[in-house]
Amino acid sequence: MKQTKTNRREALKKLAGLAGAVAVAPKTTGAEEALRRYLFKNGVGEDYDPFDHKWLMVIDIERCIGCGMCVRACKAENEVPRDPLHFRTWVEQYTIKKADVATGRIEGETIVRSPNGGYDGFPPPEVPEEEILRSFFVPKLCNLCHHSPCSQVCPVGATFDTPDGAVLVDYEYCMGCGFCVQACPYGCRYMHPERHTADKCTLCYHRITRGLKPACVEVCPTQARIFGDLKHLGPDDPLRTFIETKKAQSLKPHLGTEPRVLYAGLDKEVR
Amino acid sequence: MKVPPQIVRLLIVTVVLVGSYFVAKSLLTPPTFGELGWYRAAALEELAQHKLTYAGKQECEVCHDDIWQMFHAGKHQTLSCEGCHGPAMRHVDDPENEHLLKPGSDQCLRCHQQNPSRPDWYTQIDPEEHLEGECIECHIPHNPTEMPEEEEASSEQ
Amino acid sequence: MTNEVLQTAAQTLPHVSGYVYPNEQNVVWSVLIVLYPYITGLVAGAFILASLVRVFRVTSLEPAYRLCLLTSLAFLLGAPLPLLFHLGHPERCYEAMMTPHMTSPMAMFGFVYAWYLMVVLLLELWFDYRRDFVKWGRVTPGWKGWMYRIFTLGVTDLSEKALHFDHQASKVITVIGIPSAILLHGYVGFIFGSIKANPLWGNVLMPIIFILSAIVSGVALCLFMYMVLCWIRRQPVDMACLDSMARALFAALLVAAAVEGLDWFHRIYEAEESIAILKQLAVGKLFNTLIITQAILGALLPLLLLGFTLLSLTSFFRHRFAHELFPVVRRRIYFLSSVLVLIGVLAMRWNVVIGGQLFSKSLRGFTTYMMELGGHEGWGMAVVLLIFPFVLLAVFIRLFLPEKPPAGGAPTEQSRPAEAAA
Ligand code: HEC
Ligand code: HEC
Ligand code: HEC
Ligand code: HEC
Repeated sequence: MKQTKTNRREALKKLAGLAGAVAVAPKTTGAEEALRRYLFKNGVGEDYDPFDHKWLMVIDIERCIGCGMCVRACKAENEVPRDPLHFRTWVEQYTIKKADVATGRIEGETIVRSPNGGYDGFPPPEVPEEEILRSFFVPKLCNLCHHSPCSQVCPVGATFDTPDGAVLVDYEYCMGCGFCVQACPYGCRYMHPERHTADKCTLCYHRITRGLKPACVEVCPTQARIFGDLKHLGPDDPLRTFIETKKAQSLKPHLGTEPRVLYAGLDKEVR
Repeated sequence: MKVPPQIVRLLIVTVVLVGSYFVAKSLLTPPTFGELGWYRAAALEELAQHKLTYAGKQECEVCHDDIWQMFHAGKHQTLSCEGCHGPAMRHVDDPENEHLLKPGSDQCLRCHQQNPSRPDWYTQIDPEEHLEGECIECHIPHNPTEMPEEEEASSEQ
Repeated sequence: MTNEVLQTAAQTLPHVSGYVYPNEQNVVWSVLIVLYPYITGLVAGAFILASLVRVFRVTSLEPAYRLCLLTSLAFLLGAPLPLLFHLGHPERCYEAMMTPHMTSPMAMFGFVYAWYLMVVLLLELWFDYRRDFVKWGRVTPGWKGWMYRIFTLGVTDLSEKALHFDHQASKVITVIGIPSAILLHGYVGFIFGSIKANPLWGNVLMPIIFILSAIVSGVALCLFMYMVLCWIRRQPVDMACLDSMARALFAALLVAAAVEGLDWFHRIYEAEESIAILKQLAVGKLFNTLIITQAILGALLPLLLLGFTLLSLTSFFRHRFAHELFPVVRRRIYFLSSVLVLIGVLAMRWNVVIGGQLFSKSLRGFTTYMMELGGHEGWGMAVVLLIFPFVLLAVFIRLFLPEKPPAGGAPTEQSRPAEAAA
């Protein structure tokens, strides 16, 4: 089923991990990770080594047209409940009004909405066009935090950061306490109404391990979502171009979660 | 000094309790737990087994070579076939029986309707002002800047 | 197409105002999670009150000592139930003990709980009760007798030396118990205080606020239970004991209210990004539970009532007016205050747990908590889970707090001014 190549240090670590009630979760450093191998079978029966990849998604806000294809694809691909209360990814529409000069402010009120998460696309903002200062769409998804608060607070180790950069939920092990939902600063988690466990974006783990793109990236018509593998960046990989040329930002940087999902062209109003 | 009997009894109880905790722990900890981190390593494989719903664009090329060629010559080349036609994994597995949607004008407008939130570089139309009729009467969906020829349009049901 | 969109836009859930992240429209932690810190708080508070007797030798509290401990035990046994019922997969709860994730404050629950139950409360009770168990076991027939005999764990030595050891041990355990009680509840506060994602919760003061309000509620509960028990048994109330409890309640409430006030003052003065939404929350969705119930009814009013009553006990007051407030009046006031405080602390838990989920982490809007009547997280369940510890306590009182304590139970004399004798 799977072959593990472990060196001695790892075996020791494993023992410690299993035996010690007080052992702290071993967090491997980058250098250690580079040496490791752990093979398992992906969905088509090929060997897949999570230590050989580092998946990443970045977003170019300037390219998002708010068609909501990604929201649809995500729900269909991942059996996300169809109601307007549960989303692994959604799109927000920001409309910033012009300021009344008398107030001395640069800009007026910010109106955000996400009707049905953008599943059905977006109508034009309700604000009359002449009052709009600027308006844009922002796709949201799991921010793939480097220091993910959700896996930090999971009491049983049912949600975790994988070596290849995803943050997953073990549906067979999650006891459904909801702590991770509270801990996620980005509102990217929800309790699955049928499974009764936490659920979130998996970066379409079943797809990326097969060498496919996540569903949202697959259907995005404008390449607003760019997906790639940091450990295998080709010379003109769109991800490389993005990282090298765009001035990108992350969401809520003050929380120290260090999201790996970066946004190019992020507006200050986006939270 | 003699150890008080209370202490002796309590020690026995403690040993029994702590012992049974460790026995339970060794029995109830899942087999692959802790191999990669503080989680069940087998979960990775389990999650990777989830079934596909979207086949991916490259699948279509094999059987729809003609459309593929046309498609990549046109302005819609960055689009995904499945964005318009819906998830196609079942179709790829069994094209004769699993049919896909042929999207209507509402799908075109979903992407092309005039909306101040959309970036300026992107081509949008005001459906009220744009020409009357179904979009595909005048645009080939797979190459939208082209007009469909008469017989081609009628052959598509 | 446009129509379709507008329909969904219109249907965007009436219970949401402003913008909340779609996943936040449902409140995840229900009223059961309100009960959980409430009940553990009562545990910790009741224990700390009991410890005043043993460690700080507030002898006037002696009549209520065992009641405090039993209250603490009953509520401790009831504490995990709301948590358990709220889980999506209650049958997997054992995982938290088998593979506790050490970076999670919640993983500590099992251990802190087990420690507190077995090492602190049960041991303390055991040392305190062992003599009685032995004695009762000798004279009681039937299953009750068996039960008492089993509870002795077979240690039937009642020599002077053994009893002295019991007493000493129980003291030592109380000393361990105080930090443990603080740990037990401080950690509950930390569960919330450690959530940096939530500006209402993520706060260093949170554990402290939780501990203080726990003490407040625990003392109030003991006061309440003591009066109710005396009333049911038609026993005279020991006024010295009551006055001492009221003093403790007043002091704890004063500190708790001050610290929580400080928290809000600090937030408002610092006026960080989140303050706008928190203010709106306080005067909007939480007006009834925060301002009215928690602040005015649950803190201000009892502070005034208790403060005034206790003032009447001071020599200054007695000197001026030749008399303290009549015991009847005092009893009424204490009773009323304890009930108010109990409700106020429950409201405080509500404000933290539910309040923290009513506003969006995008700081742009509110959702509403819609509580159902039935269902495993509804009103019905909440009431049952809140009553359960009281039922348990009634059983404990029946078994372990008989009306006529066996010889040596030392009921204290009335009217002794309760001073913290050192
Ligand atoms: C912009 C949306 C859109 C995209 C993207 C798109 N299609 Fe289509 N496709 C349509 C529409 C609309 C029709 C129906 C045309 C008609 O009825 O005349 C259609 C029809 C078809 C048909 C049936 C044609 C026939 O002659 O019966 C096939 C096969 C097809 N598409 C394949 C593809 C493939 C393969 C791709 C990806 C390379 C693709 N489509 C991408 C919109 C799209
Ligand atoms: C195994 C070959 C094969 C592959 C791969 C394939 N198709 Fe088809 N497709 C067919 C055949 C054959 C038909 C004609 C079915 C019919 O008319 O009964 C068809 C028909 C269609 C139609 C017309 C509607 C229908 O269902 O009859 C669409 C649209 C279409 N395919 C889209 C796609 C897309 C998009 C992909 C890529 C994800 C794709 N197909 C991949 C074989 C394939
Ligand atoms: C998933 C979104 C999407 C859908 C659905 C879609 N398009 Fe497009 N369309 C695009 C994108 C992206 C472009 C290329 C960007 C651009 O040129 O502005 C484009 C370009 C075009 C163009 C060329 C514009 C130009 O630059 O001259 C036309 C015409 C067009 N689409 C028509 C259609 C029609 C007709 C349909 C319905 C069959 C349709 N589109 C459906 C996304 C979409
Ligand atoms: C009667 C024929 C006809 C119909 C029906 C039609 N179009 Fe067009 N469309 C055209 C022609 C001709 C052009 C190119 C001339 C122009 O730029 O206006 C065009 C241009 C476009 C463009 C590019 C506009 C630009 O500024 O470059 C888009 C996008 C487009 N159409 C989308 C649609 C959509 C979506 C529909 C369906 C709601 C539709 N069209 C229906 C004839 C049509």
